[in-house]
Amino acid sequence: MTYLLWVLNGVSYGMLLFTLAAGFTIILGTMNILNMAYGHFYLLGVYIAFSVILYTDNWLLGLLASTFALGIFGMLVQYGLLARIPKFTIQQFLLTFGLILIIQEGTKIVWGARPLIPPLPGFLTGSLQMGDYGFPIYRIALIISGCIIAILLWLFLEKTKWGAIIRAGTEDAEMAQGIGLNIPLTWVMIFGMGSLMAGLAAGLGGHFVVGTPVTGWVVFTFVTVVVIIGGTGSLRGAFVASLLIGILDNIGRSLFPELAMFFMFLLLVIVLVSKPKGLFGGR
Amino acid sequence: MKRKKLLTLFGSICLVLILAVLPFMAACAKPAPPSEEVVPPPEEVVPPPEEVSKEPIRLGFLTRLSGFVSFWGIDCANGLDLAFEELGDEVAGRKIEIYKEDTESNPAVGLSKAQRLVMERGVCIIMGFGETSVARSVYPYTEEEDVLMLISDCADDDELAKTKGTGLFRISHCSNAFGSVESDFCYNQGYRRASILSLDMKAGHEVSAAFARNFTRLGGEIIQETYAPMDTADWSSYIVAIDRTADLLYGFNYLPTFLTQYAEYGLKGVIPTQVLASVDDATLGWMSEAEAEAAVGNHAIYQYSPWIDTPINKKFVDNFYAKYEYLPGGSAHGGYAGLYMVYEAIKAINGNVEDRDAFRQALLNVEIDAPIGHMKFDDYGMVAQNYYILEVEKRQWKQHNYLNKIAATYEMIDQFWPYTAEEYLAMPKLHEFKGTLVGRTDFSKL
Repeated sequence: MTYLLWVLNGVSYGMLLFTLAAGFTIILGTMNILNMAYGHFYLLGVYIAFSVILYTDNWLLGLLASTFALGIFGMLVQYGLLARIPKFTIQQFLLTFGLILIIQEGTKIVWGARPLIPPLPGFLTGSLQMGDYGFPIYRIALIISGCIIAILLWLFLEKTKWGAIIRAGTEDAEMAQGIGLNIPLTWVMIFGMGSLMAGLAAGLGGHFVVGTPVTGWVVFTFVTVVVIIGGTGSLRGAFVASLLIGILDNIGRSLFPELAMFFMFLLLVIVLVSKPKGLFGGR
Repeated sequence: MKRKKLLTLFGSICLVLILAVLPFMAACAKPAPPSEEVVPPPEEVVPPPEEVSKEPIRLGFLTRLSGFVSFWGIDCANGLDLAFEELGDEVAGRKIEIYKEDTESNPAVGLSKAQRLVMERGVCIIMGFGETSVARSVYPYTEEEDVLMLISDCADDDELAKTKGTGLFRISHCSNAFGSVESDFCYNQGYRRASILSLDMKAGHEVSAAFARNFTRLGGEIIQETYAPMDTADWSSYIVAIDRTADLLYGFNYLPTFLTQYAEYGLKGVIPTQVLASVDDATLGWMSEAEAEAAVGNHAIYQYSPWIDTPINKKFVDNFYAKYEYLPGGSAHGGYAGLYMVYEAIKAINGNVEDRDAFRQALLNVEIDAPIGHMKFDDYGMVAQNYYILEVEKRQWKQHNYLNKIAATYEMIDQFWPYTAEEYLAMPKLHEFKGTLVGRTDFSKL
C-alpha cells in the first residue's frame, strides 16, 4: 500500500507540474522566450485565487479568476513589453527578471509575507481510505484534471484553427505572415495562453504549493527541469517528464529524505548527457 | 601583446573572485571565542559623569524583512514600532533614533547592513536578527566594534550559548529550552515512542536533538529521525514514510501546510503531533476553516502567547491588535520587549551609552515584567523566561474561530534547562547529533 501511495502522490504532483510546464514550454517552444518570471506568474495566481476565494467563498470563482487574470496579464506583458525587444537577448532576460522583482515585492505589499493557502471547496476535502492511510480526494482531482488538461491542449493544438496558426508560426513565422496570418497577435495569444496555464495551475495547485515569497523560484526551478527533460516545445515531453519527476521525487524523498531533490537533478543530468534535446525535443 | 591581455584578464578575474568571496568569508568567520573574563555579579552600575552627551542615541534594528519567513521579521519590527510608540523617542534627556535594515535572510547581506548601521549611523546596539546564520555572521563584527547585540528572534544554542562576558544578549527562544520542555511535556502526557520530522536547518537539528536528549533521559525512545528541505511544499512522501508504531510525531517546521496534509493522509488523531508548524494565533486567523480544523489538537511550544493572563500582556495584545489588526506572536514580543529592556538599560546609566562597559553591565542587570512574564538575563546574556505549550482549539474571539490555548506553562526556564551550565557546556553541540538520534540514549559524547 505504501508503494501505491508513493506512485499516486508522485502522479498527482506530476500532473500539477504538467499544468505548469505546459504553459512554459508552449511559450519557450513557439516564441523562443525564456520567461524567467513564470514561477512568479504562478505565485501571483495563487494570491489572486486566495483573495477571491476569501471574499466570495467560491473556489471555482477563485480558479477562474486566477486563470483568466494571468491570461490577460500575460497578453499585456507580451503586447506592451516583450514585443518591443528582440528575443533571446540580455534585454529580454532583464525584462523578465525585472518582472520577478515587481511581482515579488508587489505581492508582499498587497498580501504580506505570510504563507497563504487558498482553501479547498467541500467536495475536494476528505480522503479515500486505502488500507491504513487516507489518500486526499484533492489529489485524485489533480490527477483527473491533469489528464483532462493534457487532452484538451492536444485537441486545441492539433484540431483547431488557432492550433494550426500556432504551429505555423512556430515552423516559419515569416512565411506565416506572408500568407496573411497576424503573427504579432498570434504571439500575444500564445503568451497569454501560456500565462493562463500558470494561473490555472495556481488555482488548482495553490492549496499545496502555497503562496510564499520563495514560491516563484521553487516553481521556476521545477518547471525548467521538466521542460529540459521533456524537450523544449513538446507537450508530450512535458507530460512524460512531469510524471517521471513527480514519481521520482516522491519515492526519492520517502526512501532517502536527506537527498531531497537529488533524484530530479540526477535524471536531468542523465537526459542532458544522453539526449541533450530532451526526451521528445526536436530542436 | 596577447600574453599581456591574457595576464590582465586573469588578474581581473582573480580580483573579482576575491572581492566576491570576501563577504562570504567574513560571514563564515567563526564567532569570537568565549571571553575568559569572569562577569562580576550584578551590582549597581557606577553612575555616569554628570555631563553626558546630548547627541541622539542611535539604535540599530536588523532583521529579515524579505524572503521566505519575512513575516516573522515584520512581526518583530511591528512589535518594536509599538514599543517605540509607547516609550517615546526620548530617554534620560537624549533623543532616540532607530534605524532599520533588511538582512534578506542572507548572512553576507546581514553583515554588510550591520556595517552600515555601525559605520554610517553610529549605532550603539543592534537588535533583531531573525536567523541564526545572520546573527553568527554579525557577532564577530559587533564584538570587534564594541557594539552591543540583542537577538530578539533566533536561537543557535551551539555557538551563542557560550558567549559569556561579551556584548551579546538574547531574549529570543532557545533551541535547547524548546526541545527539552517539549520532551518533558510529551513524556508527562504518556508518550514513549517518538518519530521526529523536522526541517533540515540548524534550528531543526538543535531542537530535535534537545528533544531526543531529554526525552530519552526521561525514559522515552526515538524510533525515527527525518529532515525535510526548508522549502518543502508537498509533505506527502514524508508523511507516508512515518513509522506507524510511533505514538508521537515531533517536529520543527514552519508551514501550516504540514498539518493540513497530515490530516488529509488520515494520520491526525492516529499519531498525535507536537509540531511547531506556524499555527500561531496570527496564522490561524488567515487559515481556512478546514485548515485550522486540521491543526486542532496540535501542541507546540512558544515563548509567548497572547492568552497569558496578565494585565501587561492584555494591554500589549489590545494595543498590538488595534494597530495591526492581527494577534502578536513570539517575534512581535521579541521586538517589543527588547526595546523596553534597552530603554531600561539606558535609563540606568543616565543615557551614557558611550561607556560601553557600563551599558553592557546595565543591560545585563535589567529585569522587567514583560507581556511574556518576568525576564532576567543569566550570566551568559540569555534571558530566563517562561515557555508555554500551546494547543490549537476551536474558540471564538472577535472574528477568529480557531485560537491557541495554553496547555502548560514552564516558568523561568533558562537556556541550559534541565542541566546546569557546566553540564550543558560539557556536552557535544546539539547539531552534531543530527542523524544519530534513533536508538541513542547517551548524549554525553558523539
